Amino acid sequence: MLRSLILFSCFFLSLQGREWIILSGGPAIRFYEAGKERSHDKHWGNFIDSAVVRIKEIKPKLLEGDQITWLVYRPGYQSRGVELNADLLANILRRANQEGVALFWFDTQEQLINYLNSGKDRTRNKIQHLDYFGHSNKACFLFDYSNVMDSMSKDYLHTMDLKKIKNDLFTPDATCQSWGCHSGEYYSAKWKERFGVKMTGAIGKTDYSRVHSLPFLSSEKGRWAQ
Amino acid sequence: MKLRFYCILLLLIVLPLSAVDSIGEIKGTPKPEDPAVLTHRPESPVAASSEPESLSEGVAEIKESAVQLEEKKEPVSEAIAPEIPKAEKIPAMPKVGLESVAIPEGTPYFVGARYYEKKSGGWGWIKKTEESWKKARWAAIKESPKQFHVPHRNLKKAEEDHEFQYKLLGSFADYQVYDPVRDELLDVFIIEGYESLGAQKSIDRKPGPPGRFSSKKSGAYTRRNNIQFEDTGF
Repeated sequence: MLRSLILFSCFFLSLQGREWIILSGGPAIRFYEAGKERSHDKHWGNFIDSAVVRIKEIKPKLLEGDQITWLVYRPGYQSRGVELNADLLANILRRANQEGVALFWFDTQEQLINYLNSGKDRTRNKIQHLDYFGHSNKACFLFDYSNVMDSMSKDYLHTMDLKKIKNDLFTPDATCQSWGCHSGEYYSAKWKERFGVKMTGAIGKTDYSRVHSLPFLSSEKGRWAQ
Repeated sequence: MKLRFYCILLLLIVLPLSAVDSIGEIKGTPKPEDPAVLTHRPESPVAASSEPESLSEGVAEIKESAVQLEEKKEPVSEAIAPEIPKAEKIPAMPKVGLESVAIPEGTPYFVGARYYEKKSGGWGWIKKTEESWKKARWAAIKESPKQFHVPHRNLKKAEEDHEFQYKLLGSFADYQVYDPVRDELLDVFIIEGYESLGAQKSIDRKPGPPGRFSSKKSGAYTRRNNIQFEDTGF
């Protein structure tokens, strides 16, 4: 009886279409970072280029009804765009169009959480996968860093904020990965504790400098952990 | 007769070979572009019509502002290059409103006591003029890149104005910011000008927000789990 129920549940889920979420944080502005010993985000598009690489990787894995959603922290690209005198939002939009994925901007942590919790009917559209590209320390995703204020973050998702996200959003076999620095040292454990799904994260730092490639571990003893 | 036959045979062999270059590609066939070159492709003009709509709070608004593709786009080649070059030129910052200026009499202002900490984004203590330093708030300062800077941007090193005091124009923000190095939340003062009062006697208070030293946590504080944040790479 129980087995039939599980099989039916699996079948039901597979019919509804799953969501694959790519989450991109924003870059620093050079006004705050230029001249620092360890200057971040010399290239504005680190978290965009790598997200596009990931989208291309995910596409062949999609089942019928699945959808890729790209969530991008907008204020970071607005202010960096002002500094560069370039319309970065239009650039990102064009990249999303090229890939044929749904692009959703968010301006605050609250908007992101609202989308995750109720942007879709979560009883029918569970999240199958989530990737995070952006700044982070071991306890926090930093959607902005050195963008609004020097070396600070105004919009972020701390492990203490995870309780604001519903804990039944993911499919039972969902996978998650943070491509930011240090997530595997603490954030991954808290993620598993909250959502019951593993999040692969880095022990040590990650580096986004390789073109057309996903970030790689850059610390001497760096490794991926869950 | 034999000689003519060999000449024709030679021509038949040499002519096709001359149409192939050294790596075996047919001349005239475009080579795959080098990704390294692609990344430095100059930016193409951006259509103004692709600017997305503005977004307000709530998921309904998110849905409205979202750009959901309905049309199927043409297949894209595997390597898509960023269209803005990596070598980015930052426009020079104008030197406007960046220097210490005398604040006119009668203008309300705050008083700030700078306290330099190597691994912290906090600026120092800020209080209303009539308040004692016991009521001062530990804060970070929000600058406006082209208008108002923190005083130490005019110095060679950030620590050079340690324990200086300033008259500060501006106001406290209604939000806090997260300091990822210390894993704590800080109040924010939005600066709109300052006047230096020079080096002053040190203030008898430990630096940092209330959560750092008391049992009352800032809301983002995780050190009770013995997490250390010395490595500041993010």
